[in-house]
Amino acid sequence: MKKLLVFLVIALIASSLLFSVDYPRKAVSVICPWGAGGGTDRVARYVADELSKALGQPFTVVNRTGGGGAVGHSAGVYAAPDGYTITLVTLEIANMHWLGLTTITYDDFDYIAQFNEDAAGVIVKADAPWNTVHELLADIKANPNKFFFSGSSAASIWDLARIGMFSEAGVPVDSVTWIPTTGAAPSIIELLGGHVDVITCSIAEAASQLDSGQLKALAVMSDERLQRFPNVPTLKEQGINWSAGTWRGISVPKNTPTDVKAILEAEVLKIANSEAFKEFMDINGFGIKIRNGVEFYEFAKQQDSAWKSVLELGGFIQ
Amino acid sequence: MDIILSILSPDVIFPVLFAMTFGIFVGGLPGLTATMAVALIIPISYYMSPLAGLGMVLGVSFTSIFSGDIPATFLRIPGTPASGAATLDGFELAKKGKGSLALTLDLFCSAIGGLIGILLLILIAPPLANFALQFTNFEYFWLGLFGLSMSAVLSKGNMMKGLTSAVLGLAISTIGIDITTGYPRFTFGNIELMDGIGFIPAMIGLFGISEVLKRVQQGAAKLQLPPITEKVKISPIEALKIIWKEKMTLIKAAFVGTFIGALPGAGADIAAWVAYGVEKKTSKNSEDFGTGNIKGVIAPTSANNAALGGTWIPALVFGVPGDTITAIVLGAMLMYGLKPGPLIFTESRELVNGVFGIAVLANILMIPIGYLGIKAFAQVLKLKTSVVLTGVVLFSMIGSYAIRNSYFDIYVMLAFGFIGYIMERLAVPLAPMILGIILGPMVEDNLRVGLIKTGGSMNQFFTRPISLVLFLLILLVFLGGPTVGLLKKAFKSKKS
Amino acid sequence: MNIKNIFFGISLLVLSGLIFFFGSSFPNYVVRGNKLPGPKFFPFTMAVIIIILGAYYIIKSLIMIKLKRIPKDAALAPSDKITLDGIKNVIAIIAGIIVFVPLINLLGFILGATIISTALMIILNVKVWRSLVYSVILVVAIFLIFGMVFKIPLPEGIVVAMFQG
Repeated sequence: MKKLLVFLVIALIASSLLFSVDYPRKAVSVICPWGAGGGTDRVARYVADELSKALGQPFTVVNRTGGGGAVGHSAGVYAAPDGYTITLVTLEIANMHWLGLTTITYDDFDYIAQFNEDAAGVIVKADAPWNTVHELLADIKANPNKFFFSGSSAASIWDLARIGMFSEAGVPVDSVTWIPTTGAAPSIIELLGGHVDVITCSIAEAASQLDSGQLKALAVMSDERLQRFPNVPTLKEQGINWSAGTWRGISVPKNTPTDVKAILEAEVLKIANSEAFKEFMDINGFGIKIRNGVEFYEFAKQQDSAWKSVLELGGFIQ
Repeated sequence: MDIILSILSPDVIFPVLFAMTFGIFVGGLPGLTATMAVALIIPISYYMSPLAGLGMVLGVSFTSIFSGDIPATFLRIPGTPASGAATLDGFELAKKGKGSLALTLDLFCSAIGGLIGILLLILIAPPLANFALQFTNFEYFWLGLFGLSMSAVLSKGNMMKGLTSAVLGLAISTIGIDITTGYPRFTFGNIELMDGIGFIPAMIGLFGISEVLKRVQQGAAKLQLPPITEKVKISPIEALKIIWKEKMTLIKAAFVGTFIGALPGAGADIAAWVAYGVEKKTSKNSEDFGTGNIKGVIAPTSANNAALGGTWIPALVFGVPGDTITAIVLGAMLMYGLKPGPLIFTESRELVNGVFGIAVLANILMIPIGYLGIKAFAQVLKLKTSVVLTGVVLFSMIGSYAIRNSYFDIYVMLAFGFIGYIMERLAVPLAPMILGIILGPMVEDNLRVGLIKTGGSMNQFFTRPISLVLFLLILLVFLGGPTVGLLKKAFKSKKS
Repeated sequence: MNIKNIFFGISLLVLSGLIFFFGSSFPNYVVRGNKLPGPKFFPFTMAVIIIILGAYYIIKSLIMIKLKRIPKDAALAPSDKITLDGIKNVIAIIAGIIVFVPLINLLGFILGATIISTALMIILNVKVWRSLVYSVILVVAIFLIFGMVFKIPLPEGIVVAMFQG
């Protein structure tokens, strides 16, 4: 029995040595916590394809959906830390544990690189009476409880983006009614049909309606104006110190060998900086934001505490 | 003319044919849905021209929705969620040895229903889309209830048991995160349950596994599948003759299907059930439904293929997806540099016409391809029954797993298989439970979000014009039959 | 059939009891002091309907037994007698599905699924060697379709991984 154990330990060490020189030796799973066909899935498939080309082994996207991202992120955390399961992490890793939906936190992952950030927009119907975000906020102050806001479910990132904006602008957080929907697309339909007044969702998701002139964006919650929407002012230029949005990147389970992480980080950064990636993201309306592993970890950490305070503001947690 | 030439060029037609064959294959395997088929064809279609690429997506969605009916008819395992209704009369016909008849009719009606859906898309997309925009929580709530009222129709013989089955389905649908508050209900800390009971594993279990259990419990001596070798071979002309006789059923179902498809938030699966219910409700000999009535085959299959055309309406007109398939399609359109939305009809008129042309062609091509699919599937059934049943168990397990790569869903499937088996022994119909699971969130969420909008008042559920019409329609379904009956009786007694 | 319906009624009562028990801890939903239907509302409504239905089946069946009548839908329930052979088959299928996941995780999909499939076929009275041949064909087909074409991750098995490692 002892001999077997010793053998196993040696085999394990030997194999980990083998891994470090030669990665990947077999197919790698890329866990996507969101469904096939959605925005995150599209990005995951693109990055997986590029990684397969670069590293010579198939990188296969595995959709592990459910629980508002909880299922996929957990699967990513609890996978063997050998580099053969990597996860496309999204913003939800920083806020869902506050809501008690899961016990895993941002700290359960090692971060490889971030390549995307999509800011929230303040979007209204084209024929709405407001032309700036200040007009809208003044109207809300004058008529509390009159307007319907939407964007996704309650306590989702787009609800939190709205709460943060209100709090920065000095508008009471509960002076509008949040209409929960199952996502950005249904809330766009509600807005088009005139059943809600304002939506705060990823501006990229509403790109085609904005382009065709059915909807107009009063502001975008990014630090600087977006290349894709140069005419949409940021909240910051209008004196509201608030930015919010979703983000995506690649992570691996904690304790993955450093060499494996280094290989992945180099390749993901190479892909993120390529022209082809820029073109792909432009076509799909996604924003690019690149952070390396260390920066990404710091960012996730900062986001984790930032969203906690917004969740408290909204009364979702005590 | 140019359009026709560009559609018929080999670099368009061959990819489309390939995609359609692929769709038959995927749709026929339980657990692999039409959505999955489309998601899998997209990476290939990126290498094609926009016309060929979108043609492939259309082709694959049409054939996979049809071929989901093949295992539903032969084995009572729906290949896709939209084929749930085919397990009723289609399967009953198969039990009588008329499986190929049912499927040949099914195939032709899928094609014709699909064509009607596309024609409606071409002709009245903008007005229909604008009408659909009028729908909000209040209307969707009634629409959900209207769908549920069909469960009474789906229960053969015993209304109470049908109602019980539907209520149980509604109760099951409350498992998972509540979208209005984000509170996880009945999940017992299990993250796999947070999105609720997987609808596909539940359906595979309820219909497929329960059927296997029912078969094997008769003991080895009696293991037998319905005979598929038919004495009467059905020719396409005969099939068309039968369909001509039932043309009203087909047209009615196709209109219902297109309309439901056009509503964002309702797709081919709901369309099929509602069309079945509407047909039974308006049919003279409604008692035959569920025992192998061909109308019960024609209505749902015409509706689910027509719904595909319908789902493209909000996608093209507003650039918003009506279901998961069009969500993927929108992504593909962006890749080709197309901007879905009102401008697409002016900016890319030619391509839109081309896509319409391919959609029409795909529905015609579906007939020969689908025919081969039926033939191929029938070959499998010539094996010994025990072998087929074991195969069904294996495919059901792997299909339930494949839908989101979750082992948990295999156990969900098993649990529902057992529930279905017990329910059938108690003469409780299964279909209303499925309907309850599908429509539960629609009814509950829209009621509650509607009440958030009104601040707790029910007024708007009755005062908005479309709401009121839908409400009256439900009253008609529930009270219509008995009232008409009473009036008839009263009239007769007066006469005598 | 009456006995079966009483059984059904009791199960419904138990179920609604469970819904009330586990649902009682769900939070209320208040928007600006206005109490609206919350997470409890819909499950509890269903539970009440289920209680009514359960009571209906029990009372109706008891009356029917008294009156020595059989319900109309008795004809719809399968009338076949449950044989020992049948019970064995049902248990085999259920056991096969339960064991499937741990087995393929241990031995890998191909080996695990082949064992389950062969065992089930043998129990359902297929000759041993035939079962094996059919099972291998079936499992390899599933592996090629789901694993290779559709890229569904199928387990390699702990045992196999150990040998490879």
